[in-house]
Amino acid sequence: MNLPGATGRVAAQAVPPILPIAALLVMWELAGRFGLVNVFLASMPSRVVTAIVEMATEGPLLTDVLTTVRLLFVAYGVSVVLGVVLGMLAGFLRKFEYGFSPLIWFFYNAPIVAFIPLLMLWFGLGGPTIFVLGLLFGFFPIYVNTASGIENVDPVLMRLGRSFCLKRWEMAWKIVLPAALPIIFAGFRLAMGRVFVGIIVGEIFAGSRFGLGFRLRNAADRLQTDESFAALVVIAVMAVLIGTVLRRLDERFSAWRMVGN
Amino acid sequence: MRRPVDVQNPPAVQRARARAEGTRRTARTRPRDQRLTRLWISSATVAVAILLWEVAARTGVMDARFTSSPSGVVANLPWLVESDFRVHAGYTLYAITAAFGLSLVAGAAAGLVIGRVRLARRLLDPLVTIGYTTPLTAFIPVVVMFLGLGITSKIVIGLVGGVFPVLVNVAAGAGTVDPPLLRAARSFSVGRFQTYRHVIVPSVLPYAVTGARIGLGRVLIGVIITEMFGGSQYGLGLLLIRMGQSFRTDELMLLVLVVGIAGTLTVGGLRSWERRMARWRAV
Repeated sequence: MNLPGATGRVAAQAVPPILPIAALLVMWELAGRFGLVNVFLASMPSRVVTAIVEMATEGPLLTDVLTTVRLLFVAYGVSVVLGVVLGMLAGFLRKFEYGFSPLIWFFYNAPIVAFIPLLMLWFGLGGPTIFVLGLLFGFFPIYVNTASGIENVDPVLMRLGRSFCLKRWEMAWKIVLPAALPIIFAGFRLAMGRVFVGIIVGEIFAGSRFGLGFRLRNAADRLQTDESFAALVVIAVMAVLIGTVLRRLDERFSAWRMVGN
Repeated sequence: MRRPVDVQNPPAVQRARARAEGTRRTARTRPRDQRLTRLWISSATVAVAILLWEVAARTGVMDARFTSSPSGVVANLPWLVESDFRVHAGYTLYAITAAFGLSLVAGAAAGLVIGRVRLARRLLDPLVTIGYTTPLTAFIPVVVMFLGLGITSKIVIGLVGGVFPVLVNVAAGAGTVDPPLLRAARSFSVGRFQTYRHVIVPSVLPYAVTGARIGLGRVLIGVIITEMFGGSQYGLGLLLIRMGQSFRTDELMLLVLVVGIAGTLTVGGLRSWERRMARWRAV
C-alpha cells in the first residue's frame, strides 16, 4: 500500500524532513510582510526571533526557564520517589493496592485541571500550587505502572524462580523487579511529559512572577503577540528536547526488554 | 489407542504443583474470590476516608470553609438541578463531543495516511512530534488571542489535544500490519479499498482505541482549562473557577467530584476496552 515501489522510496528520501516546517515559516513570514494578515495579531517568525533574543539578553527569559525547570525537576523527582515506593508497596501487597485502588483510579483518569480552583484556594498563587499540580499529573502514572509491572511478571519467570526455591525477597529482588523494570521506566517517561503539562498549566493560572507559562499568559494578557509566541516556541523546544532524551533512554532500556520477552 | 499426554505439562507435574500451591501459597485464591476481596477492601477504605473527612470537618481539625465536608457536599446535591449547572454542563459536553469527534475522524484519516505512505510520514513527522509533545495548555493563550473566548477556541484546543494521540497511535498500528496478510490480500487481487476495510482497519483498531483513550483525556483537560480562562461565558471550567473565587467550597467540591467521576467513567471505560483489545495486538 506504499507509494508504488522504488519511486516512492526515492522520492521519500530526496525530501528533507525539515521542508514542511520551513515552508510554513516562510509562508507565515511572507503573509506578514505583504500584509495578508494583521502582524499585530499574527506576528511573524522574524519578530518572534527578535523577541526571543531580546527576552534572553535584556528580559527575564533565563529566570523564566530556570524557574520552570526547577519546578519541573522537583515535582518530577517527588513523583518518582513517591510513585515507586508506594507503587512497589501496592505491587507486592495486594491488600494495600485494593484499599487505594478507587482513589488511584479516580485521580488517574479524572481531568486533573478540575482541581486547580481547589488548589488555588488551599495554596494560593505561586510555587506550592504549581508543584502540587505537577505532582498530581506525575505521581499516578508512575504508581500505576510500577504496581502493574510488579503484578504482571511473566508466570514462566515466576515458576522458574520457584523451581530454584528462591526465598520471597530473592524472588522480589532477582526476578520481579528486573522483569518489571521496563514497565516502570515506561511510567517514568509518561510522567515526565505529564508533569511538564502540569507545571505549564500551573504557571499559566497560578504563576506569580516568573516561569515560562506565566510569561506566556502575561504576554497574551498584554496583547504582546511576539512575546507570547516566543514563550510558546521556548516551551515547544524544551518539550521536544525532553521527549528526545527520554526516547533515547527508553530505547537503551528496551533493547534489554526485547531479549527479556 | 493411547491417550495423548501433554508433554509440556504432564499430569504428575500438575498434581505436584497443585499440592505445592495448596501448602505454600494459601493466599492464592480463585479470581472470583479475589474480585470480592477487592471490592470489599476498596469500599471499606472509601467509607473510612469519607468518615474521617466528616469527623475532621466537624471537630474543626480541618477548616470546613476550605475543605468542605461530605455532609456539605451531599446537602448541595439539589444545587445541581436548581442552578444553571445544566447550561454549563451542556456547553462543556457539546465542546467535548465536537472536539473528540473531530479528533477521531481527523486523527484516524491522517494516521492511516502517515502510517502507510512513506513520503507523508517523512514530511509530517517533525510537525507531529512538535504538536504531540508541546504541552497542550501552552497553545491556549495564543488560540484565545486569535479566536476569542467563544466555543470555537474550546473546540480548537480540544482538537489540538485530541488529534495527535489518535494520529500517532493509528499510524503506529498501520505501520505494523502483518505483511503476510497484505501479501495474501494482494494474491487474491483484493482492491485497495477492500484491503483497507478487511485487513488494515481491523489490525489498526486496538491501537486506535489506545489513541482514543489518551485523546479523550487530553480533550477533557483542554476544554475545561480553556473555559477557566478569564472572560469565558459558559462551561464547567468557568463554574469551577467562580465557585473557587467566591469561596463556595461545598459547591466547588461537588463540582470537582462530578467532573472527576464523569472523566473517570469515560476515560476509565475506554481504558478497560483498550485492555480487552490489547490481546488482539500484533506486537
